[in-house]
Amino acid sequence: MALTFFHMADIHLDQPFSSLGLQEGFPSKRREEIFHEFMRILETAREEQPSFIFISGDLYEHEYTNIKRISRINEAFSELKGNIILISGNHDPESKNSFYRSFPWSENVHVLGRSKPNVVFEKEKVCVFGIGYDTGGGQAKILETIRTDRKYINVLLLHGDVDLSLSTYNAVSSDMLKDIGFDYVALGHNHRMYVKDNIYNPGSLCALKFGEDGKHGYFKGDLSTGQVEFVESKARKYIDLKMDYEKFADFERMYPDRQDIYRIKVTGTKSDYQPLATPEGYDYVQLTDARTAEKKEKKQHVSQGIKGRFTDIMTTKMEEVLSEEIRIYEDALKLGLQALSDEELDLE
Amino acid sequence: MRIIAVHIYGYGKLTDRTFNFKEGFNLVLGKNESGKSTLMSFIKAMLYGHKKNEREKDGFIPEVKKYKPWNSDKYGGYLILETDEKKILRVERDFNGKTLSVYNEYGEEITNEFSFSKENEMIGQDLLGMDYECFINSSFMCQDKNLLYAEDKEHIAQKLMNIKESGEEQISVGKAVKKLKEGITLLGNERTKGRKYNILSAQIREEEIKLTNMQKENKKCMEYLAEAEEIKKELEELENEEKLCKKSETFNRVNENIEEYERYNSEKEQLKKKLSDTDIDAYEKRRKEFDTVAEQYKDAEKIYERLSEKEKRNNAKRTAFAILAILIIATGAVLAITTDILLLLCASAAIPFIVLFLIMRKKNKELIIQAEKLENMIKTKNELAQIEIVLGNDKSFNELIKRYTGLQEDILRKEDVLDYSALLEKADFHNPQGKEPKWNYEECLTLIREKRERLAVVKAQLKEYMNSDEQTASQEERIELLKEQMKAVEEKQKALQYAIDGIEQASKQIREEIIPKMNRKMSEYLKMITAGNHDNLSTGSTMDLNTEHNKTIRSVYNFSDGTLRQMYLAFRLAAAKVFSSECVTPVFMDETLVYYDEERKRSTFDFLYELSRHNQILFFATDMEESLLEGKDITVIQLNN
Repeated sequence: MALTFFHMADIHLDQPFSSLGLQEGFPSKRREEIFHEFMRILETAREEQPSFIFISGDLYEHEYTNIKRISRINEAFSELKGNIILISGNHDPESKNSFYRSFPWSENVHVLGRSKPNVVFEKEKVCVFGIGYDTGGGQAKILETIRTDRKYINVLLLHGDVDLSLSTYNAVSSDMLKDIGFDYVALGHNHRMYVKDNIYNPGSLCALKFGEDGKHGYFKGDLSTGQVEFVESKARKYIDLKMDYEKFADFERMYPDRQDIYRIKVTGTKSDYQPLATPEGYDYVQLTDARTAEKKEKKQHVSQGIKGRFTDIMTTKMEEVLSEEIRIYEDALKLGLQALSDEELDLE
Repeated sequence: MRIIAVHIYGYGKLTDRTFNFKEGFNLVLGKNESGKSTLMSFIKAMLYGHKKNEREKDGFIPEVKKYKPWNSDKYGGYLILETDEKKILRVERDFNGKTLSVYNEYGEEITNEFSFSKENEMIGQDLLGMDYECFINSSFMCQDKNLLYAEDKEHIAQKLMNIKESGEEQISVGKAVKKLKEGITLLGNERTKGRKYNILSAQIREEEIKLTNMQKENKKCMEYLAEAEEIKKELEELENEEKLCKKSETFNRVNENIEEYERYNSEKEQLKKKLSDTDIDAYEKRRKEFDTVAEQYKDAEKIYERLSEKEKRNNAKRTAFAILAILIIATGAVLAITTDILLLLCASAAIPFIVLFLIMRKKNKELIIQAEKLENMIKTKNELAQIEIVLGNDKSFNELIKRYTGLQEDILRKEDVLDYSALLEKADFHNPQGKEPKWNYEECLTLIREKRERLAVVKAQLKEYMNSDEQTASQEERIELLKEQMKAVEEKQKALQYAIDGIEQASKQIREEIIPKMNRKMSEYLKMITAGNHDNLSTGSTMDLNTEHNKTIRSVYNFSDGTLRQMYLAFRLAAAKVFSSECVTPVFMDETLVYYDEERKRSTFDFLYELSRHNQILFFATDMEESLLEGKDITVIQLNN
């Protein structure tokens, strides 16, 4: 009997995108896009009818999601023939009033966690264990109490990292998982996709912030054959660039994908406060002008008036302070010179 | 540095002209409109270029446009200079192409050897050691800078103060700092009202309250959800409880019925046991019979008494008749001795009495039968009475039976069963098996009703939440955006403060480094300019400029306009000296002495001549009194031709 499944994690529905807020309306648009991508995958599931859908935590943002959204998800779940197994994540913890606990989920939805650590599907001979988010990082300890039965195909849903010594969050070792005898470990939490033996971490379904490069999507497979493939989601990429001002002119040729989300730090030198022109026709481009003012050589042995001295003082400061302060000092220099020249101050 | 020659290809009204200057004092004489200012401007432009980004407005014409040659396409020229190191340079500019080229005496281009020339074409900065601002504020005294047409004391004092603070007469540190501080105030802070800072922080507060409310609502929604689930569970429990109540109630009722049934049954059984010796059927038959007969003998006892008396009376009569008959017969027998007839007669006489006797006897016999009958009846009656006593003297045994039967039927009908065993089964079926309902049925129903009502309320609330499109994340983003704007305001304020600090620091440096030098130099120059009338000029930590005159320190404002102008000149020249540092700067002056009285003119001119021993002086004037020139080695250049 084919035991097909979809495995995804870290969808983070209703997450705020404050960093994209500079472009009005874009964060809401982005949120809806992620929701639609999730729904599109459920639609695929409706067609392909996998026996199971594993969602390994952080399906939604507890702080921000609402009942309307949850209802729509549940409605989509209820239309599926297979079973949906959910665990909580650190963004959707199994707290007292969480939707996981109080929402009347469809019958084919199984929320695993402290109150229900596993679910057995007798017909399919599949036993699914779930370890969601728990404060205090006690999840790994729960693992020690799990005993698998070889009569079943044993699946573990875990919201945490495996073999990441740097992570203190729910980190467990792959050896431990191997010893317990899981046939498929469905991870969640880390937004970067990785696979180790039979441990699968799909990463976030869609990239959620800059730095989340690489592939994003979900795993599709068959528990009976052990065959697993990664399916990429259809979503915008976050592209973080550092470009020299001279190269920046070539940006549109180098990056023709206009729907991707760009953050470009333009370096080099600027003269006369020439502003940066945002490339046109792109959905989202965030420009950071990191060009440094043309360095004025210090006028050694030159006795100067106040403007020269002031410029020198500010230039020296810029060399001493942290990068984020440089911008403020550049502005201070500009404002100071405006004030000394009795010009209108640029307070915008 | 000194200027050896100036050649103009084309600049303003001057075309293809050469001017040669010597070391020391060069007096350039020319009538009005002869091109003095043009020549000065040319030299300035050759050294520092034209001011960039000047815009034409309010009748002001940018220099680059103002000096476009009238009669030539060539716009530019060159200077031949001698550096402090005694090197000869040729500085050439094309103002059309905006190019600057510096050649050495061998005709090699060496522009790149001069850092400021390379960077912003300011060869003057390389050669004179001062930037443009300093140059035009110190050694380059053009007409509008030194004639002080309309200046009053305060104006000059302000300039002096500016120099003292900023090293530049046009720049007021106080004013700049004030402007920056105003900028800070304009942006606002916690203490201001209606400023950008205040508007933003009010907006943030407002939006944060909204966010908190949204979060509260979301929390409430989740609480409602939890409550709905809780109520559903409770309802399920209550409905089970209701069932249990019903079951329990049925059980109890059936049980009661069974008890009642059984009580009657046992009562009946007891009676039955009591009556086990009594043939009830026989009794009933006899009773029926008796009752039928008894109708006729309602007072059987009385009748029986009467009959007994009658019987007694009859017996007496019978006895009398018998005796009489015997007596008669006996009499006859006696008489018969005598006569037989008599016997016969006597016997005949005895016959009626015998007959009577026989009648009486028969009558008595009947009475006896009747009495016996009555006696039997009474006996039966008594017997029946006895039985009835046994039966509890209750006429209603039948009723009991009837009631029992009726009750039995009732109970069975009520419980909708056919017989007692079915009733027992029913009881068994409804047996709550030790589970005691927490509430009774009525309470249960009330609770169920209450819970259902609450569930309806909760569901209505949830429906409202379901219809709400409010997105907490959007709100959070709105706040973040406002906070970004706030951050920008705060950074702007920081920048303004940094600018203030920087300017104050620069000003302090100037005060500390420049002013003592300035004080010395100004005093030296002032003494020379005023021919010893004033020998010191100083400035301290206060804004005032003071001079010590006749052992008294006096504010410069106490002096006449003329003296103030001399003081101003002393400042300008001291500034040129101090700002140019190690470099020897040529001094350019345009009609500097025009408003001076004779005495001042002389002393000043003498001083300038003295100064020209160190610094080349290019003095532009319309004319000059011969007396002033006497005995002096002055190169005179006539502009008019």
